[in-house]
Amino acid sequence: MTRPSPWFIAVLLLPGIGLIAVFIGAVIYIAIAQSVGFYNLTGDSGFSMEFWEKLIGRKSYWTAVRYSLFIGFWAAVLSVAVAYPLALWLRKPFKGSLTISAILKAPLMIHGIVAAFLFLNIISYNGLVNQLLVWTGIFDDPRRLQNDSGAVGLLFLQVWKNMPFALLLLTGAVQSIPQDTLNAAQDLGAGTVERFRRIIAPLTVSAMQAALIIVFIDALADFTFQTTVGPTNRQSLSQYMEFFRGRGRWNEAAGVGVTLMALSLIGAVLMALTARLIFRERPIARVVTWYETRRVEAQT
Amino acid sequence: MSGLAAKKIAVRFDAVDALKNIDLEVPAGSFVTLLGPSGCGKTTLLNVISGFLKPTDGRVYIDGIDVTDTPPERRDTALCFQSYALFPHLSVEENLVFGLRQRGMSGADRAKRLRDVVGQLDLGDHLSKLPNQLSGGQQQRVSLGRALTVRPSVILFDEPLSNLDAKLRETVRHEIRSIQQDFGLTAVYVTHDQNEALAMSDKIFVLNKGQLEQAGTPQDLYHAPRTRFVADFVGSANVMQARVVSRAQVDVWQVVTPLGPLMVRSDTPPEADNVLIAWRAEAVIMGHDPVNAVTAKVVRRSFEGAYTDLFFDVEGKTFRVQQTETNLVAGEDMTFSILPDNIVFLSDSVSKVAS
Amino acid sequence: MITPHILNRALMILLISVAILWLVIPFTMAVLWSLVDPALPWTPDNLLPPVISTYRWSYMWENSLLKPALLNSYTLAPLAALLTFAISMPTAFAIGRYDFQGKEAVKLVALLPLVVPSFVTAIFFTSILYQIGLAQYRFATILFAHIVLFLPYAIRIMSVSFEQVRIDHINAARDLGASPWAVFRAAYWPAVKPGVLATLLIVFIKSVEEFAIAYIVGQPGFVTIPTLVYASLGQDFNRPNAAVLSLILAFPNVILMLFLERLLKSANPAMASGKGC
Repeated sequence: MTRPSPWFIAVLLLPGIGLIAVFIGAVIYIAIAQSVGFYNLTGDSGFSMEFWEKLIGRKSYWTAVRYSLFIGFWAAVLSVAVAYPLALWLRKPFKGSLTISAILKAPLMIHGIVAAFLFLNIISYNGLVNQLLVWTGIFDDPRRLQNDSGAVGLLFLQVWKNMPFALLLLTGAVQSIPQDTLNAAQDLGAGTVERFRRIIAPLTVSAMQAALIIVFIDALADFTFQTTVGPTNRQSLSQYMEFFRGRGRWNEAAGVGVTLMALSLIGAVLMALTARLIFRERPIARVVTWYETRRVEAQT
Repeated sequence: MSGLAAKKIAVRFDAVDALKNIDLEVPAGSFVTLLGPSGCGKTTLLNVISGFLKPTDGRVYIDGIDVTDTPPERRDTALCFQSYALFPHLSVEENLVFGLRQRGMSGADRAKRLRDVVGQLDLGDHLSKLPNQLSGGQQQRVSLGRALTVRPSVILFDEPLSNLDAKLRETVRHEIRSIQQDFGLTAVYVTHDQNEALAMSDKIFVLNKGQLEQAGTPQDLYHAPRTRFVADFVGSANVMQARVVSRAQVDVWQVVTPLGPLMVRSDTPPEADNVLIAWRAEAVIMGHDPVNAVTAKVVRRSFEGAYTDLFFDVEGKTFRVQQTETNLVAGEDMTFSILPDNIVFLSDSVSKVAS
Repeated sequence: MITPHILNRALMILLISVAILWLVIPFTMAVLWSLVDPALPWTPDNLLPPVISTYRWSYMWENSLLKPALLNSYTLAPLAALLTFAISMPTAFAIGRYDFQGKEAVKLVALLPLVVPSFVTAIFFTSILYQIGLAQYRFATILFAHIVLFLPYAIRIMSVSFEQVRIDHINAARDLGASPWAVFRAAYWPAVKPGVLATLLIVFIKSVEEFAIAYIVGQPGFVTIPTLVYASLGQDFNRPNAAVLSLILAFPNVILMLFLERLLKSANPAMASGKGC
């Protein structure tokens, strides 16, 4: 590849990267500025921490933070935990494996709102699940399963929608481990569990991190699933933010928005680090090697 | 019996026979090579021994114990892979002690085993490195070391040298052999390289199309190949048709060949009147000898360093004679004789030998 | 010893039954509910709706916001696809064909719209629109936001496509005396064609499916198919109506997605499996 003048590159990048940087930059800037009292649509604007103080003083704020973190964490962990064994099973092609992976990945193609409807339809008061439970005698009468306060339905839907994505990432990673490497471990005495713990998990930790981060951010900021199938006694952060915006309380909405972005960042980093610490035996050596190979690549 | 034994091993994939009725015996402390072209079944047999493949028929014994149903992780074998298959995320040290950890060995014992192997293989400077920071030769040694630390009953090699350059290959070949002898290891070595097989082995098993062609010491195979395949694959002998005319003595037959009438001395009689015979390109004496003298015109000469190949054509087939010193050039006539002792009768098919 | 063969078979039967629970039943239920006749409600004691009718479908067509929603969604999507593609081209070309300092950073910036939660983007984009007084141009502003939001996909796919144009093909064409147009036809187009189609298709699908921006910026009064389906799941949840709308949202996209997957696989296996960068 050639190295043209930086100006030429800048001109080429301007419409695409420039637009993204300005747009997202402006969005983040406005969110932060409004949360500290600037850019008010009505009334005076000026620096003030009162909105943050009010927000932090509210119990509902902390409930929303805890609840969104709960959903984000469990959606990510469960999706990856379900996807791993499936990815290992589908590692080597066998008769019918393509059909199976197509069925498993089908939820990727179904819109979240449609999924929410399908789910509501199945668990509704007169829905299939209730009828089945009454028919088998587990329930005496149909019960209200929708919007359960434990958020079981919501988590189920999150995993239904996000597991295929984790599966997609993990299948690629697991398939790139050579058979010889796994055979070598087995030959030296490693059984199924040890092979996973010592070889497969460390070698696929990047894909695992990517899946954890993306699912976590997506579920943390969820609005549609929460407002359709989630518990009615609690609000997610997105819902809480929209609640303030709907009432024209932009500064508090901004505070929630900034919280959401900060939690995405912190949570993602923490999940990635934890995954790495658990499954990489020598994280520091990895960084050193990575750095050295980069340097060698840069020189050649 | 100690050592490794495989009895009547057969492997079928769908309708295809990958291995047919193979018997293999490797006495404790000996070095046995499975030799054959790609697709002959030698790696399949290795997988049966290491436990990655369950044979359709037959049993595998290690030190007299039937291990056919024992999975690889509980079988006392250690395999050196062609690709090395080092664990890329573990340091050389962690790679070397991987098998010991799996066996639940204590730290002090692990350290001692590690020291022994590291000293033997000269890996001391590389213990904290990751595999991708090592050269191909060093990776090969780690792979060997990883198998050695567990002191397996049987050590298995799957073409371990094929990713090394020619020069390194010869050094490592000697090293593997001397380590095997020092440790008194029972070894099974798979290769398609006849030079490797001849140089390293106590005994060679030649496989072709899933069947055993011939088993024997390197000398046996080289000097007394029993089939056309072995004669050709091990040291590319000259093979030609012959018609048996008479039995001159108890162990000498008179045959007619494209090169003219020849005398053959053999401990075993020919299988039929029309047979194949083989002779080695270097097993000739230049000049006119009263027995088995042949005169032919050199069509091509090829200098190979230590020796020179001289080619001549008879009835549309090319034959080869090897000389260490020669002034002959293309177009000249040469006369040589093949001693009756140096000609062998071949069996015309594999099945006759196997059954 | 359980052979892998038997194990796989058992697992497969298990999985197919899960798949039936997981896809077939929900969709069958949706289709059946969309065919319930309002005069004869589907009560729990019947296995199937007593009367199958297409009344709901024609009713929704005539008496809901379905028509404007379809119009909005299916005008937004092709425009977003074409414009996103056009705007992504120079950036993708720079990333795919040139080596420059800070390339990794540029690639990271290109991912930003996917990392910032879409509701945050939507809400503070409307805030900006109010500040600068453009909030009433709903169609145009939603289109604009869609373009920025989906640029990451276009940049990624097109830059990989440009990377695959081989310099020896370009050189061979020039060596044989080709004009710039002929070089494009011979060396560039075959390599980038699948990428172009994939980009257009993926942005189209994403735009039809996009909810947060359309919902927040579109308030009040601007409907797209996802916002309409969402509304139908709200206070006055009417199952047959919601079923009709859900199916209208789901099916065209599933077909387009299947087409897209095939396209991505044929274009570049690494891209379909999400590898490479």
